[in-house]
Amino acid sequence: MAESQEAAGAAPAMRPRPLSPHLQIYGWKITMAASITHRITGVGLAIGSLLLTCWLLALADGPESYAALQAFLGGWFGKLLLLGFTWSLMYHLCNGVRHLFWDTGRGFEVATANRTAWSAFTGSVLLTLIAWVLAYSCGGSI
Amino acid sequence: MSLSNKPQFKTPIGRVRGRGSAKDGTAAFWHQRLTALALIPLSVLCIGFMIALTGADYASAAAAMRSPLAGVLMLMFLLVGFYHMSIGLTHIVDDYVHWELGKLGLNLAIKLGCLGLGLACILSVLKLSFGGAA
Repeated sequence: MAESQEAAGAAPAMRPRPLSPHLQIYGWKITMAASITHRITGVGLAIGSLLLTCWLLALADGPESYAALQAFLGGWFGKLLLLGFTWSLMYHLCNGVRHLFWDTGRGFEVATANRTAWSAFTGSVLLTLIAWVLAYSCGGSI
Repeated sequence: MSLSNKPQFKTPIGRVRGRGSAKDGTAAFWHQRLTALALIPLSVLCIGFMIALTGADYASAAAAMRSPLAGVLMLMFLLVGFYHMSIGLTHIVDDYVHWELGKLGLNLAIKLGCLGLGLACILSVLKLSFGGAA
């Protein structure tokens, strides 16, 4: 095919372009984990937004709906969802700040990127803990 | 597209020349950043509000939502948040879904879903804000 085209005087058919090595070539790094976790928590937050929608709808609907939702959220599965929602939000917030910092053109050095990736993970766990301690200690105070 | 194996006789620049620029290629990128920046204070305030309402009974939760400050805060968070969500989910679909029809369908579903959820939330907040709940 390529030969006949060249023989006919047409532009030579494009050779397969060199591709950059794909994911499986590289060793697993904390920055890669931080990157994909940002996406996963983003999708998690989209699922969590259903929870927020249900809460607002139930509250607007009346005491029966609200009580039913509170009962569900108070159970182990509801609490697990809320914990995942909280951590997803905290991680996406921490790593989002990291992305905005990058947008200023800073922080791309390997050492810095590694350090901020670790900070996003530890920061999100700490913030989740703080949120849940606060919720248990002063929740329902309004 | 260049992904197909068919021989292409035009150069890449020849294929796009004369089609004009989209002019809005960076809009989603820029709006994602703007909404991200706005969501830092908004989400922190909303988390604080939700923490304060943990385990609250119906009357106190509804009363808290009647405050104009809480209502405005919630509405801002919801508007900016659902917009940010639609940009982000569309970005993910564009990255991983390579079947054009599927991509189109998913992106439409994302837009419709974000609009529907956002409006449901906003309607609820307004109803609570005006004290319309039972």
